Amino acid sequence: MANCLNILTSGFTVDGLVQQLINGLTLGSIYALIALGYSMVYGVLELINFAHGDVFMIGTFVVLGVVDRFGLTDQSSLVVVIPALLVAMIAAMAVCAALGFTIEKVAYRPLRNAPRLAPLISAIGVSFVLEAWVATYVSANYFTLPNLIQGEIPILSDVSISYVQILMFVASLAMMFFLQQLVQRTHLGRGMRAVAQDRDAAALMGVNMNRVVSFTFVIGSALAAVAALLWTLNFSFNQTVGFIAGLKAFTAAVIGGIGNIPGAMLGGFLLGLAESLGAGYISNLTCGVFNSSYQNVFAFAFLILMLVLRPSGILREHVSERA
Amino acid sequence: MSFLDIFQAVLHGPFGDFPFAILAWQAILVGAIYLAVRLLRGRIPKTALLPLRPVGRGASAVLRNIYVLVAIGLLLPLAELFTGGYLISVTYSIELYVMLSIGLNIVVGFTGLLDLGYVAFFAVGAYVFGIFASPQLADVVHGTLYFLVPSGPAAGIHISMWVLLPIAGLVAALFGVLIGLPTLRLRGDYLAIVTLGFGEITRIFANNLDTPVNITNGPSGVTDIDPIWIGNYSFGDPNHYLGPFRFTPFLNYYYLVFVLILITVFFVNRLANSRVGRAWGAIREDETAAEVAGINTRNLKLLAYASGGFFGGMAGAVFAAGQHIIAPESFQLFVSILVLCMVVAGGMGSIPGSILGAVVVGAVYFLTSQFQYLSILVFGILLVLLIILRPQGILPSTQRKLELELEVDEASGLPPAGETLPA
Amino acid sequence: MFRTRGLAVLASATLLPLAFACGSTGSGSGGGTASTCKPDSVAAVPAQTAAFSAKLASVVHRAVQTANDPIIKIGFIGILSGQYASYGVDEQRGAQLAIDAANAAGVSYNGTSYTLQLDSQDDAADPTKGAQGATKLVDDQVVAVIGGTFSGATIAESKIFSDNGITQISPSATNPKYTSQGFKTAFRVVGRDDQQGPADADFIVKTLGCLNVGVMDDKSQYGQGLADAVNAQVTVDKGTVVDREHVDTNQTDFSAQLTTMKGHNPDVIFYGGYSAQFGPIVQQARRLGIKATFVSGDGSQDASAIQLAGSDAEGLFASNAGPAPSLQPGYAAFQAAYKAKYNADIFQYAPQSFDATNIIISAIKAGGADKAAILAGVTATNNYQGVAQSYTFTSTGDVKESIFTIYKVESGAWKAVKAVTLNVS
Repeated sequence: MANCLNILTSGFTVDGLVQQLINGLTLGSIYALIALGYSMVYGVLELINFAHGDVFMIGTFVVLGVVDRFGLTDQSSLVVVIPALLVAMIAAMAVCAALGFTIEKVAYRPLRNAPRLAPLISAIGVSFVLEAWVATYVSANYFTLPNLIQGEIPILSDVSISYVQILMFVASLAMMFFLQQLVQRTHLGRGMRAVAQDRDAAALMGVNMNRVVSFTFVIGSALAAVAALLWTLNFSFNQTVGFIAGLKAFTAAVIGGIGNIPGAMLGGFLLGLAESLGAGYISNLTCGVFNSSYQNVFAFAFLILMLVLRPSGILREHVSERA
Repeated sequence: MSFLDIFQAVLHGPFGDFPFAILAWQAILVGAIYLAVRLLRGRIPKTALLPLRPVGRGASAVLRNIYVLVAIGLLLPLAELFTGGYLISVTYSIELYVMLSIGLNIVVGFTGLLDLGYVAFFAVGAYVFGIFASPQLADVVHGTLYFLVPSGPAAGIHISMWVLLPIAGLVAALFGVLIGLPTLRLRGDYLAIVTLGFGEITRIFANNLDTPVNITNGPSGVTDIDPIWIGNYSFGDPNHYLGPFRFTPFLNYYYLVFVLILITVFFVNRLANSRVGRAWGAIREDETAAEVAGINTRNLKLLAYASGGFFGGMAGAVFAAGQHIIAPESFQLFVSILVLCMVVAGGMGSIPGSILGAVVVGAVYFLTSQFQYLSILVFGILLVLLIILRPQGILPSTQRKLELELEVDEASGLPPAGETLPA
Repeated sequence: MFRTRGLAVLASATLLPLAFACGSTGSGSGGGTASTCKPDSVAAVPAQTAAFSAKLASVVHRAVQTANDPIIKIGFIGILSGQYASYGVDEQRGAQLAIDAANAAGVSYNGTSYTLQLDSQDDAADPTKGAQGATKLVDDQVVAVIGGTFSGATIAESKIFSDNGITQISPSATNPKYTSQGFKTAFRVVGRDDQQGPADADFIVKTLGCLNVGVMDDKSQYGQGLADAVNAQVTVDKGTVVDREHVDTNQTDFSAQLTTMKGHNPDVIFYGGYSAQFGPIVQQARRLGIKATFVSGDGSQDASAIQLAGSDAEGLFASNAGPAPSLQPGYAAFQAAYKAKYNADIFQYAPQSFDATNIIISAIKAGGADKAAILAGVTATNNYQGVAQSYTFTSTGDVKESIFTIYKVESGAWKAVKAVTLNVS
């Protein structure tokens, strides 16, 4: 059908492409931050922490609460906004870290030696609890923050990158760097790597398993809190935002290579790009057969392809025995 | 009526005049005669007809006794006729979940495959039934063969349920094989995520397959689905009376699903107590060892998905008929998770367990649905407690009991001194 | 557009002289796409207080019931929990106010005086839950039902009510399917999406004069249905749909779809969906530099859209079923009573719910508290004057005079700019 050729290129502009790339990278940087938490926990415990996405969600609500308390609006000047956001970030990190620690202690530690399915079910239960609690005692509605950080830098004639987007990108790279230092240079970081490599040998070498695991959860949750702050600056959220964001972040972790910090970052960016470009151009590429509502399908399809073709991820650090 | 009339009627069967239906009935007759002959000749051990022998004593034995369960199942809704239609509608919904639990139990409980996307089978079965038993098929045909089929309102094909229910099940089973194929090498949590992904993908496709060909009618879903008919008795007709008692559609469908569950339990039990079942158990315990022992893990895993899919699909088909409209919003991820919780809570690998789990969890969920989020909150807490305190579930199979109840010292990995395996 | 066949719409839109069209004959001017498109010149109508209806009795908080009166239950089913709870709770309150007012004034037929009670069930917009709730209402022996809120669950419930001869009036279900199933008991007091869509499209092309339209929807039954209707009508009106995008109801990041939309340069973007997405979509669009005007349907014409869009809410348009508050005869009194009892503002369809309940109550007063009598009474409703408008039902259960109003956000609040009335046979 000649119509198809029309559709193939309709609406395509270089500006649009650049904008989609920027969108993809910024979204990806948030996925990367959340993915770090998944990746670390999986590396240490071989457990998918389903509740991690919901810890991220709690972080968004903490930020909302703080911003609300400060009474920030669109008109608030940066002098007020920056300190308020710093307070929000610290509060969110504290709450999320404490939450992550508690979840591990209460819901996962007793099941350390139980069969595969048990911690998974436990995680699902925790996820239910967090989402339902927010829906019952806060609200089930969607929320947005006012435009706190405004302004952008024009790149091309019709494309600009906003300060928020730059912030997202820079913040996630900074966090990755910080985490990498933490894992390479500190005592507990060394313990994490040891446990990830061989749990029993690490125990034999005197690594305190419980300490290391708690540390992992705390750090992962704090990173999720930073991701939450960045998320609220640009997107809307309600109690269900954690689940899908978490799922995609886990996909990102798998893509990049689970248990691997630069891998999680890479996976996050790749997934963000795939989603952005996919949702943006799928209808062009398939002559309108598939539309942009298939956005989530890309994430899952990417995951399935990766797991089938290259299960250890792109930047595999150690090849796990799982197929 | 002469003997010849009776003979002709028996051969014709109650499934209607559709030739395929008559053939199906005659196949059943032949099968029944064959089984009867074998039984009479003593080849089939009597225990095969009593699939759920009570094991042990006490409440758990009573609950495992199939006669008890059947009695409760038959009489419960009649008791509820006194209390009103609401409880019957809730019981019916729970019953659908019972069937889903048994199906999921095959995949998760017997074979150890973590499936978080079970709702996909439910959806496929529902849509197959919905498309073929409503005017939707005309849209599909017109969309694909538009140069052959003229446009305009069309009534669609209204296929008898005797044919359509198994077909819905078979399509869902095929779908299970399709899902299983790429995931054969995955283990544990990875498999969970991927199956979750497939479940979501199914829903998204159901929501979007209205262009370029209108297959599922998108977010509006399929409407005007035929109710189920047996002869002249329409299950959707609200005006059937048995004396003073009114047989609402929910009650009709309840008994239909009840019969389906009996069939399901019979087949699943036969499967579980066969070589296939033992092979599934071996795969669950240690797949590599099973592989080495010569078990064709690939085919058996696919069979597990297919079986689970078959029963899930049939449940979906009845669901579609009962609700007379279906929409993608009924097939969310939450359904998969709920069914998984039912299976886990009831006891994995145990059929009475999954029935009980479905009843208990379903009752909690549906009867507290007024406090929607609060009930999910409590539900989540109970789930965490249950999995920590009694991971084998409420009514575990004896094997699982052995696996999980045995306490293990955390540091040494050995049972505490003096304890041995239960006899 | 789906299931609109077999519907006769008599008389074209009767335009009340409220709006001032900018470049009203915009179509036809050659290449000048933006020259006639001036959304900012469409201004709000100064509020006209309609004649206060003397029939509306004053409402007291809690009427004192006479202990011996037989209790008649009127059912309510709608969204009482979840993210869309604001819609359902609002309607429930409207129904409750009607019942309180009726009890205060006394309801009697043939010498028997009754006490009315509202029996509420939650369907959470889920068809299965709706079916169960409907069954519960049947068990509770309600004589009539107000509900549901969203069309999907309403359609599932309608069969159960029809099976049991219970009259059902929905205050907000706009999907055409609800009344085209042939159930004698299904009624609604608002117009339908296959009427709202063309009204919106006409507004965009003819009143705003904007020919390049982008259409987005949330792939929900309501959102896509409305967007399809708008899409079709824009083409009929000789406008161009430059791009069609879809999002998901759970989506919170819309940048991919918006960037694609931006590449097609629409003057107006129509969004079919709910305010929970509409607000963030507008906010993100402005951040991406999209200057197009946004228009949406009744799912977005509420306070949360303004709240979520923040400072980007100025200049948004949305349509709603029913007349503008300033044109509703009893609105001021109703609003006062609502505020007095619930200490909150009306969310959206509470007046319609109030009217629907009163239609049932007048049927009770005319024919008694019997299901069949109520059904006959409601079917025969002719020019019943309610708070919002006057109602007459067609043979399919739709309302004969189907009114839509288009609103614009000015100074942080929705102001009416145009009304469209369709007379249905």
